[in-house]
Amino acid sequence: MKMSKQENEATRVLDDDPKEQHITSFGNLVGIWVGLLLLTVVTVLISVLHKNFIAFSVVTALVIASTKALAVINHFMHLKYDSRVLKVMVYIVFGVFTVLIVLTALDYFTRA
Amino acid sequence: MVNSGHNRDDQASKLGMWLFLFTELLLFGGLFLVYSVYRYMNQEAFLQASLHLNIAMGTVNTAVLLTSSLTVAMSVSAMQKGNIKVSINLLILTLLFACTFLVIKYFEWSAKIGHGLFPGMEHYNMLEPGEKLFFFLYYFMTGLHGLHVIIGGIFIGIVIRKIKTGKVRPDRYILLENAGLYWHLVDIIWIFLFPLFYLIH
Repeated sequence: MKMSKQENEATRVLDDDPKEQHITSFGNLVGIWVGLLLLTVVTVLISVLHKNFIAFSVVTALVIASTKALAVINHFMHLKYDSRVLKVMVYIVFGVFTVLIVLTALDYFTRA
Repeated sequence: MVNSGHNRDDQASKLGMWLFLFTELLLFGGLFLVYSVYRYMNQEAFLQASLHLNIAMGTVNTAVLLTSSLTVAMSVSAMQKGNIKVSINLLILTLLFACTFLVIKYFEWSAKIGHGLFPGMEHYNMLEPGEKLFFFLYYFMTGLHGLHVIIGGIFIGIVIRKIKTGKVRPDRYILLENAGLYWHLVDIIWIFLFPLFYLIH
C-alpha cells in the first residue's frame, strides 16, 4: 500500500515468483473448510459403522487424515501459491518423514 | 541496491517459520511412531482402552479446530485486502474457538480423571500394562497438543495487539502469516491425533 518505490523494487527482486501476491478468496477457503468437515464426518461414520474391519479402518483413517492435511497445507497454509523453494522444501521433508515412519513400521511389523 | 537501514525479507521469515514447523513435525512424528509400535504390540489392550474415549467430544473438537483454521486463513486474506477490522475480528473469533477447544478438552480429561483413569490413580493402577500405555500416551500427546493450542493462542493474541498498534499492517503482515502457519500445524496434528486415538477400533 504505502510502500516506497525503492522497497517495491527490492521486493520484486527478492521474490522469485514474478506474479502478483495471490490472495485466497473467502469463498475458496470456505469451500475447503466444508470439504474438511465432510471428510471428518466420513471418517467418524466409517469408524462407528465398521467396527469389525480393523485393517480397513486404520488404512482409511490415515488416508483420509493425509488428504485433510494436504488440503490444509495447500490452501489454508497457502503453500500451493508460494515460491518453488518453499514447496520443494516442504514436500522433501514430508517425504523423508513418511519414509522414516514406513521403514520403522516395516521393521516392527515384520519381526518374527 | 539502496539499503534503508533495516533489512526486511518476508520470504526468509516464512522459510524460517517452516523450518521451525519441521521440528514440530519430528516431535509429534516420533510420538506417533511410539504410539503405532505400542499399539501393534498391545492390540487388544489399546482397543479396550480406546473405547473409553468420547467420540462425540472428539468430533466436536475436530470441527472446532478446523473452523478456527478457517478463520485464521480468512484473517490473512482480509489483511491482504486491507480490511484491518475484519482481520482483527476473525483473529478474535479464532481465539474464542481455541478456548472452546480447551474447555471441551478440560471436560474430557476431568471425566476420565473423575473415574480414576490418570497415571497413579486407583482405577488406572488396576489396568493391564497395555491399557496403561494407551492412557499414558493419550494424556501425553493430547496434553502436548493442548500446550501448542495455548502457545498458538498467545501468538495470535500478540499479533492482534501488533495489528492494533500498526506494527502489522496490509503492507507488512508476515507475522500474521507465520502465526497462521503455526495455528494450521496445530490443526494438522489434531487431524492425525483424532482418528488414531478415538476412531481406530
